[in-house]
Amino acid sequence: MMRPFRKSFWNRVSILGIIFVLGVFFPPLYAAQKEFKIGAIFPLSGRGATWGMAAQKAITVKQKEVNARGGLKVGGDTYKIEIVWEDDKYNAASGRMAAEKLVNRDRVKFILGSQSSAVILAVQPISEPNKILFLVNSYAKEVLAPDKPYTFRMVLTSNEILQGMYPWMTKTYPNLKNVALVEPNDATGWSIEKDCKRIAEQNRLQIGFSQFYERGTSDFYPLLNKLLVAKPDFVDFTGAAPGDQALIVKQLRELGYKGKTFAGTTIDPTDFCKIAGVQNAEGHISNTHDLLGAYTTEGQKKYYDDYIAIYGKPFDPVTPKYHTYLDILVQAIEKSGSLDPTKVKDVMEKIDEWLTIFGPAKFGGKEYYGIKRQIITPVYISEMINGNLVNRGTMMPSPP
Amino acid sequence: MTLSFFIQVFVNGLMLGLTYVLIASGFSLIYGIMRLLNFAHGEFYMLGAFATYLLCEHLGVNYFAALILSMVIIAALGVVVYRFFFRPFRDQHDPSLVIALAIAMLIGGLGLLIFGEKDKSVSPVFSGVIKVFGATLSQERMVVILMAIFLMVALTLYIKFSKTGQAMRAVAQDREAAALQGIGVDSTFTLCMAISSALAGAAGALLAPLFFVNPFLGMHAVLKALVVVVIGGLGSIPGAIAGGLLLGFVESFGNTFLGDITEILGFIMVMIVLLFRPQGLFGHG
Repeated sequence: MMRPFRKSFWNRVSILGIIFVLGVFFPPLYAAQKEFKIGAIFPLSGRGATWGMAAQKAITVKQKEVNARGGLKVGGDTYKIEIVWEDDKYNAASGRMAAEKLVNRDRVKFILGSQSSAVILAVQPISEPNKILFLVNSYAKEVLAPDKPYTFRMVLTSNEILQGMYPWMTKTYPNLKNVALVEPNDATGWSIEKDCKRIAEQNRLQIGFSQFYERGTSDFYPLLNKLLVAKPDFVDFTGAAPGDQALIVKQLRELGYKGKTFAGTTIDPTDFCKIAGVQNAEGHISNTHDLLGAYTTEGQKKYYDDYIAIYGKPFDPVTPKYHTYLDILVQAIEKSGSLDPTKVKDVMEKIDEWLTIFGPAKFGGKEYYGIKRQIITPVYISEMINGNLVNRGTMMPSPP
Repeated sequence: MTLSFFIQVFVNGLMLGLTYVLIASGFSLIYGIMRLLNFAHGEFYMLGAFATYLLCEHLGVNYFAALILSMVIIAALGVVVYRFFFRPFRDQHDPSLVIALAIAMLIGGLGLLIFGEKDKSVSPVFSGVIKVFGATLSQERMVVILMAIFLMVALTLYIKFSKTGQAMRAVAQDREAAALQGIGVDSTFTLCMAISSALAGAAGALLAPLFFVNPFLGMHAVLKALVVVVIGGLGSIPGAIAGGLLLGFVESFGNTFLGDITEILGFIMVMIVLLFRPQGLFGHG
């Protein structure tokens, strides 16, 4: 009768001993059982899904990297990062519902997202009063304002990108004078068009043509036919979706346009050339950075390797710009030693230089937005040559 | 405005209009015969484009063979959707409308899940441009124009002169009387769904090399189709042709003379038609 008792007693002692040893000698493993939830609202379906899924991939790369090193270190504790993904369908109402769910049910204090200005403006009435730290993208100026202290923009907008790219264009191609703008007919397109006009004027470029198109348009012939009458030196379609950009290039060339094509956004060169055609895409200037080419930092190389390890080839060059979301949030939480969004926000305000995969970055924009909440990273400029991206240079955006 | 510029605007309108005709004709056919607003029609168009993409780019099938195969595949899918989803709700307007919307959302969602969010492309079949009275037109657009005209003529002749086409017209006019004459209403509906879906598949296959392919094509396409058939007359094939061409020309000339507000012209036309001729330009009262 005694043997079973003794056996079970020693079994229990052994298990407790193992737990004790693990707890003492491997504290990160033990502590990493704590979870830290972050909300993420991106367009994972609908017309904005290209960007939303790119953001999801980049954020997941960082999440896996942090969890692999034991987790997020806050004071003496370590937390495994869990991200609660919500799909805003590129639609304000869905984004608002997602935010309400994240704040009221999941009780998150940090939200990453979204791509759409309309979604962000719909979420801010929830995030700001609840002191939720909201790290966003989107191009609309009004997303950042002095009365929205908990919102930080983690990606460059057309304002900053074009402040880097237009001076580069005029310097590299001094004969360019006349610009044509083709932008989508929504809040993003209107905001970009304003930026283009203002920055073009600062760079002594003349806007010869500007017209909006409805998202979902595939036949640009009628619009481009009219555009060609203005005889532009380069055509800028920064706000167009990647596929639309390729179609515009293809149809411009079919109609006999010989000038430069330009977009202050990132593209996937393979997809772009498949739609536009390699010959038509020749010389296209974009804000894409080839992570295997010139001007590549160690951080970017590591990001490339991590990305390939998770998702395999081919690498999506649209993704790197979204890496800063979780990268800077992790740094800010660890520097503040707190999970309190107000303390993290204060740290983000105070620190002048953040280490990102693009090199040192900072928050600026006080003069333009009225609050220092816009990330400033280098602007990369590349050209399509024989179907490949060729890095042409980097510029730091100069404030207007 | 020079003559060549005017011709370019006209040719752009013709191309745009024929694109709308291709998508709207199947949508209108279904309503004409079955009295069903098939909101999933746009998704069949999207699937037609994807079928062509997969056949051409992944299986290396010749483009014209892929075009026919895509029509067959989407026709078969249309029949399956009819037999399993629409037939149980036949003659019930509201449930069938909800079912059509649900199928559209289901196919759109599955498309995103299976094909991913990125834009895909079908390699161009013809390259280069041709000049028509000073206007520029790519050769692949010319092929689409000719194929669209061929399909519309074939459809019109089929409905007018073939026995099954006459049966369709009979069912559309008076279902009970047609049944009393020995016409199988259910088989006519099945055939109608197959033809309509094949047309959507053809539209997807024809336009895939011209533009791009992604899972979001359907909603925009069905919205345009709705505008076209309301203008032309719900259920009328000549109405779909007239409505599509009219919308194409209005958008092309609107873009040239009015600019940004062009997109709302279609909806303004819908309002005017509904006010003064609710049955549409070619519809019956």
